[in-house]
Amino acid sequence: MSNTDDLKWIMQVTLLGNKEAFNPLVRKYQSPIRRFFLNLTMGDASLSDDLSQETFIKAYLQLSSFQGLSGFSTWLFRIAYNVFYDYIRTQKGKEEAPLEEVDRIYHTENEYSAENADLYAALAKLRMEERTAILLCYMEGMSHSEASKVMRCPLGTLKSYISAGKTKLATLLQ
Amino acid sequence: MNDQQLQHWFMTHKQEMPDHDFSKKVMHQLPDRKAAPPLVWIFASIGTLLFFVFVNLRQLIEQLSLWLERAPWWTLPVTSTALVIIFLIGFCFHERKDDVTIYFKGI
Repeated sequence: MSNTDDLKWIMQVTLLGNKEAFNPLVRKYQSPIRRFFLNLTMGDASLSDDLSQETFIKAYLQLSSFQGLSGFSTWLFRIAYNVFYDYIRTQKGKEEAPLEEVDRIYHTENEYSAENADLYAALAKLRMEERTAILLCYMEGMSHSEASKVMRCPLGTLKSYISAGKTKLATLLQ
Repeated sequence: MNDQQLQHWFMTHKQEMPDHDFSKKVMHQLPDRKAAPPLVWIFASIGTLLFFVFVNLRQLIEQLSLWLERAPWWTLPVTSTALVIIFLIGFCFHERKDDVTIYFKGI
């Protein structure tokens, strides 16, 4: 299904109010979005499914605000990123969550950790922003420009996250 | 480890997530939507109707100028203000239907 198909479904939802037209979009993007959360949460499948559901519901409710300036995938990942960040903030109460604390929260063992233990062990060495940038670019195949739109940070900042993440990973995986 | 090796390493660890009724659960939670007001079609119909009523552009201009000559001085400002108000009411109504607040970081 191409980007044109995405737009076709989006227009059916927004202009005609056809709720069912959102279903192909969910089926198409459920795997990347759930994988993104699964890796961000170090393999917590239950939490990642909850966050994924929230992402799709928010996307559906905000679909009228999608302007098509970037791809639907980028827009959806942007919502997913915000959902995850908001979730972390609510977990930490109203205080600003330091990134080191956030990392510590998600370094937990669970049933899914064993399946991809080396991946999660490697990701655990990264700060949250580095992990997100690396996952978007290397796991989800986004360009640096797209990833910077998702994380809403300057391109240079994103590149510095990737560079720092790569250095840590290279040391670990060699 | 270079860029390509890192890319390859991530690709070998890339998980494909089977749906397992995930999309069904999401769809079940979504509220129904109202279709957007067909403003474009409404205005297009009015425009088409007016065109046929006034037959051609010259006749339309003549009709308008005649109407403006005979109309009192306040007709034009009142009519244009009314049109702006109608547009704003329509716009507010259109935007109100999906009034959901989402707080994004940094916005």
